[in-house]
Amino acid sequence: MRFADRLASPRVRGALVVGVVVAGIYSLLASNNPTPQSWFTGLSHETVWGAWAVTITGTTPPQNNCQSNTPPEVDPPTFWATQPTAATNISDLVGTTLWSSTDASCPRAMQFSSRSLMIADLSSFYAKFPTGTQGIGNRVSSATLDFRIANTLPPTNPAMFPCSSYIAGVGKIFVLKANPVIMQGANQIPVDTTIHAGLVQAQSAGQLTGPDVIAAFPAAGDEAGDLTLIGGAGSYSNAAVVVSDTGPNLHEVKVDVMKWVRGAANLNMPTIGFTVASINETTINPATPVQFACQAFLEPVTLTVQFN
Amino acid sequence: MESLSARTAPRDTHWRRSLSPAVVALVAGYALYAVARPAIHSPLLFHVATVLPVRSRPWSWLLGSAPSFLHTLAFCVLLALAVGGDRRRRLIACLAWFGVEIVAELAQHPAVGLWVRTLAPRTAESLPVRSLLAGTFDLADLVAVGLGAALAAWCISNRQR
Repeated sequence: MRFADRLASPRVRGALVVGVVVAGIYSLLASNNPTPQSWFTGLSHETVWGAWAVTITGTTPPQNNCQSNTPPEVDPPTFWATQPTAATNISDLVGTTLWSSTDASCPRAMQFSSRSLMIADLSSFYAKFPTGTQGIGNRVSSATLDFRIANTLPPTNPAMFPCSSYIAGVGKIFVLKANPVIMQGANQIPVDTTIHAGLVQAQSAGQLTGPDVIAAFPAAGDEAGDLTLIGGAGSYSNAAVVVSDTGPNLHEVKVDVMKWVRGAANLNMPTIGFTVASINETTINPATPVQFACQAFLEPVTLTVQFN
Repeated sequence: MESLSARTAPRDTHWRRSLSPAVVALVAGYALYAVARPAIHSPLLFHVATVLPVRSRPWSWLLGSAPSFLHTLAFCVLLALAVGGDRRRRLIACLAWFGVEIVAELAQHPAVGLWVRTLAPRTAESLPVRSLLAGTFDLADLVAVGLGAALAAWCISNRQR
């Protein structure tokens, strides 16, 4: 009997209808994942861009252009102003080139300071993500940047950078207009100007030694977390840094930014950024002009953003 | 008078051709989930592993609502074929599935979730309800459902059973 003939039987047709309905509803439900989901990118320039080499001094060493031992700050507006066209062939270069100074009062004259800047545009991956739908579905619970470092010098600090490392992360947070809420346990409570503590853990400056909160409800473009001055592997209040050796002078670093938006709804983070830098803090003898290179090359691996 | 069997019996063997839009939509939807929706551990797609690095593309915005379109198209056609009968009967089946998809999308609205959790917290914790509420309500999904149903209706109307 042909299949088409079998369909003439009401019993067969009824079974088919039930089967289609069950399969349809099952697949409809099963395609929604009630557990947290992840977004990640291979860190291509399509989704991640930005990097610049900051020239601190002129080209004729030695210079007396005294610099502190802190790399130039990268403030959120600078992050967001960075465009894909800023990516250069030294986008993956991190570090400094110093010339010893002829000025005894100045320990270092910086020739170049390069820091890598990575911005991931999450907005075009999921149409739903940047829309900022209320409630479940737009909460960033963690972001992990995974990259490898190829050192030009033997590692000299616990983070395996050739010099002291500086890692920072920022998130561009948008506050939705409609009724932002936060979770307190199982309860949703509305957010107003009096409720901001605990909503976002952020560290405006300095090493992360404890929880911090921003002073006001986050506005569009507010910094969500700053890992500046993480000096080595370990766990921090807002983050964790894990370093593993993957070869001679080759190290893998995982920067896990947690609790950026802790239990918050009606916020979204369509853009996320990290910056990595390092600087040579070695004492330099000013009597003899010597160049000190302190550079590493980064190989970004993945950026994983988990949201629920 | 024509019996029910006779009325619902296929009058030709074009069911394969009628089935093809549904099969294409299902395969496309499966492929979309396999490559563009990583870290999915749902009961349906537990075996799906990320095979390609997911990267943002200029057309990535399409991915958000494409599953709604494909799922509606596939199951409107499948249900219409399963129900059989004349064109009106098949279109009603298609319309019924369109309603199911619309209800499922509306159920993902946060207000509905809040209402369910308040009214029946135990029910809200059950896996089917959690799965239903876990999605993200999106107007674009509603449009995609409408387009999928419209295309399915066109396929149903322009082909023999």
